[in-house]
Order: sequence, then structure tokens, then C-alpha cells
Amino acid sequence: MSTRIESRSTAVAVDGEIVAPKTSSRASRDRKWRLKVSIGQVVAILAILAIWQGISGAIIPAYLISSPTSVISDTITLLQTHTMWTDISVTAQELILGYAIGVVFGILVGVLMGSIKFLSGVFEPIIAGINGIPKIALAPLFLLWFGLGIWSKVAQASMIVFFVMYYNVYMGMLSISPMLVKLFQVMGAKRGYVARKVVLPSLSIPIFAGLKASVPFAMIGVIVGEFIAADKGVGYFVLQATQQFDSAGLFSGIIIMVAMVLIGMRIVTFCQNRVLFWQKQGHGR
Amino acid sequence: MLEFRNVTKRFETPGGQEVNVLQDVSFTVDDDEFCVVVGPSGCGKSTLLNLALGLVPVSEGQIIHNGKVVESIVSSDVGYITQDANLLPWSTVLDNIMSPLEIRGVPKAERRAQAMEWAEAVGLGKFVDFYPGQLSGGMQKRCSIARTMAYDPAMIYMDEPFGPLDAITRTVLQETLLNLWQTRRKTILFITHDLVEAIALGDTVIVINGQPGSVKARIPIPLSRPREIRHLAADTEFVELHTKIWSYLEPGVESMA
Repeated sequence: MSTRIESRSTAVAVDGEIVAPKTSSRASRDRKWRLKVSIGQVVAILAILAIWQGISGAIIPAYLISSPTSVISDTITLLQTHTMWTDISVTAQELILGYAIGVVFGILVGVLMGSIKFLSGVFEPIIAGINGIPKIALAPLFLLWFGLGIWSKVAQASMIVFFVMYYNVYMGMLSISPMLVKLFQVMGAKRGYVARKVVLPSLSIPIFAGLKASVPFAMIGVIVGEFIAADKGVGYFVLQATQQFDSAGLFSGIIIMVAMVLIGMRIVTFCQNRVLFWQKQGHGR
Repeated sequence: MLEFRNVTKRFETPGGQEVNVLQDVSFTVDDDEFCVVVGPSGCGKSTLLNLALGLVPVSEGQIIHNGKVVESIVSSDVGYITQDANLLPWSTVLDNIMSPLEIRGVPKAERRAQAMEWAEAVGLGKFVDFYPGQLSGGMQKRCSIARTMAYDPAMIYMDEPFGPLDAITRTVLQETLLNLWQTRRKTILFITHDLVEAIALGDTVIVINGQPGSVKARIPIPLSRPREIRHLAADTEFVELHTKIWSYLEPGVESMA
């Protein structure tokens, strides 16, 4: 499957002829450019780390900003402890559950509101109003409702993710080409066929936009929940480290959070490349 | 057979005023006739097609399609080819051509074979695995023609299908369409603002003009078939028809342009 797609993307059709892909000199120029950018990135990151290392202790006290070397050694030590992995697995559970629930409800409500005019007439302003609440302010309420365990964090994350997904899908529903739908109706397509073959694929772009944007938002929800009240989790660990002026531990915790978000984003991107393969090729022309 | 009986269409403007777009339009399209409606932009040509397909309701009068009054979307045995190709961008050329066959429940192997045949017929045989985004505008249009021909509707409605194409591609596609039509006769209602196209393709040209638009003339095109579209401009009969149809378009055209 994937090899077939690759072979397609290397050639472009122009009325009756197959035009060769980029010439080799252009390809090698591209490769050189990419190499140059990569080297630049590595140098920039190394420079930032070197400055950080240099000012740590010398200009700013180490307990405030730690230093790259101690953060790295701390992270390595932490990852060898059992408690850190418990924290990671709790946060991961909260993240996945919160994300999944928010995504499912966001898509459902978005599709319903986009297909039934009466519903969107009634509920659009209500949803907009609820979205106006700074959702972090609801954290104490979720704690009250769902207790100290993972569910208050799941609720917080899914609340935030829901709105990101909902707005993406709802706008996606409104942007489906009415002409395409009419054409399929004239062709004799029933509702189910139009939904499967026209509406759902049309929604794949806004859905993936929402899925991507939601990953870091889900993490914000989880961490806020853990900051308010928790006895496990990466957010809880970071809070503990802060209270003990353990800035190396704090940075380690943040690095672990970033790593979790990046892994989540990679998974979404991987799925996106499988589903939206048709889209990439459209931009060449 | 398609019949317009004293059809009038009114739209309400955002300001609440009523504006007549089409006024008392009557004409018939016989079975297997290639009927072209020509008129300047803004005369209600596309509205006329939307009415015939039941996509919008008439204000007065009746449209009768195969003995039945059109009251909702016409979806039996009709094809619709629009100005944009309106292909599914996430499906390959072959899948696009197969979709109406899939809707009709044609078994998979059979619909593949049929779609393949039509892809060949419109010159897309080598591109069945391509996605619409990889094709030129002309090839996308070929694909949409193949998609419609594949399920063999008795009547095809075409709304300025070659409008967005360049002159050369347009001529080639007009010839392709005529060749397909010659081998497999269908009733066609073809909307265009291009006089040359109207004469080149049609058995009959219906001239619509004015605001609201109304039928100004019904002109039979006696040019013999098959026609060589690229050489028509030199044909004296063609030139006469061209001049004649222009005379019906002349009044009011300046103010519309």
C-alpha cells in the first residue's frame, strides 16, 4: 500500500503525459539545504545550552535555573526509579482518557450541530458561552465532583479538548461543498452513502487539525488537575520539586511532559499520513 | 423528454424585494436531442438547470421530465456535469468513475471493468490510479464526463462544463463529448455562454436573453454530423448561424456586460 502511494507521488500528470519528478541536481540542492538547516539547528541548541551552563551558578544561582548537565543527570537517575514510572503511567492514563473522551464528544457534537440546523440555532450560543469560561477555573469543581484520583484530571483534560475538537468539526461541517453533495444526490446517492463517501472524508482535514491541536491542550488539563490536588503524576512531581527548590527535578519533569506530548503528536501525525495521503499531492499543482 | 411549461422563477433579495430571474420560459427537449441553451451571464441559464434538476423549486409553471412533474431532486436516470469537475479529491480517478456504479449496486468486478472502459474512452487509461489533485483541469473534466457516462443515464444536464478551460483544451473536449454522444445517444441539455460552442455541439440552440431571462429564439442547427469543431469557423453555414444568433443576443447585452 505505502509503496504504491510513493510511486504515485513521484510523477505528475499533465494532459496525456507523465512529467518526470524533480531533476537530480534540484534534489541534491534540496538535500544540501536540508543538511545546512539541520546543522544550524544543532549549533543553535548547543549555543543555548552552553549559555545556560555558563550563567548557572556564575550569574544566576543554580537553585533557580539549575544547569543542563545536572538536568540531564537528574533525568537519567529519575528514569531509573520506580516512582517516576508510576508518575509517568498515571499522567499517561489521564492524558489518553481525557484526550479520547474529549475527541469523541467533540466530533459527535460537532457533526450533530453541523447537520441539524435547529440544534445549532439553539445550542451554538450556549456552547460559545460555556467556552467563555476559563476552563482552568473549573479544576476545583472537577475535584469536588470526581475526587482526588485520575478522573478529576481526565475531566479537566477532556473539557478543554472537547472545545478544540467541537469547533474544528463544526466549522468543517459548514465548509462541506453543497455542490458536491447535490451532485451525488442527482447521481442517486442515499444519505448513508453521502455521509460515508462525501461528508466523512471532507471532515478528515478539520478532524486531524483538531487532533493535533488537542494533544498539548490535553496535557495542560492533566497538569492543572495534578497541580490542584494529586498524589501521583508528573505534574504532582513537578510541584513537589518546586516546593523543595529542586530546580533540576523541575526541569526534568518538564522534559518528561514535553516528551509525552511529542510522542502523542507523532502518533497523530503517523495516522494523519495514512489517512490524508491524497491531500499532500494536491498542492504540487 | 423534458418540457418547460411557462416557467417563472422569482428570488427574494436580501432586502425583501422579489426579483424575477426567468419569465414565462417554455421549450421542449426531445429524446436523444442535443439541446444547447445560450445566453449572456446573468440571464438565468444556470437557474434554469437547477430548476430542471429539482434543486430549486419553480415559482410558476411546470417542468415535466419523462411525463412526471419535477417537484424534488431528480435522481433517476439523469447525469449532471458541473462547471467545476466536483470529483472526490480523496478517491483515485478509477474510484471516482466507479462511485455512481457503486451507488447502483453494480458488483465490484463489473464496476471496475466498466469504469476502466470509460477511463480509456475519455483518454485517462494511464491515469486511473491518480488522484484528482494530480490532474490538470482538462483531465479532471474528462474524469467527471467518464463518471457520468459510466452509469449510462438517458439524460445529461451540463452547466457550462468547459467554461473554466483554455480554448485548445475546450475544443478537444468538445470533440470528445461529441464522439461519445455519437456512439451512445443521450438527451443533453447543455448550458453555455459561448456561441461557438453552442452551434458546434447542438441540434438545437435556445437563446435566452434579458432580465428576467426569457426564450428569444429556438434555432435548429442543420450542420451535418460528425462535425469537425476545430475547422467550423471557416464554414459559411456556421458563420451565418453565428450572425443570426448574435442578433438575438444583441439587445441589452451592452448593459449586462
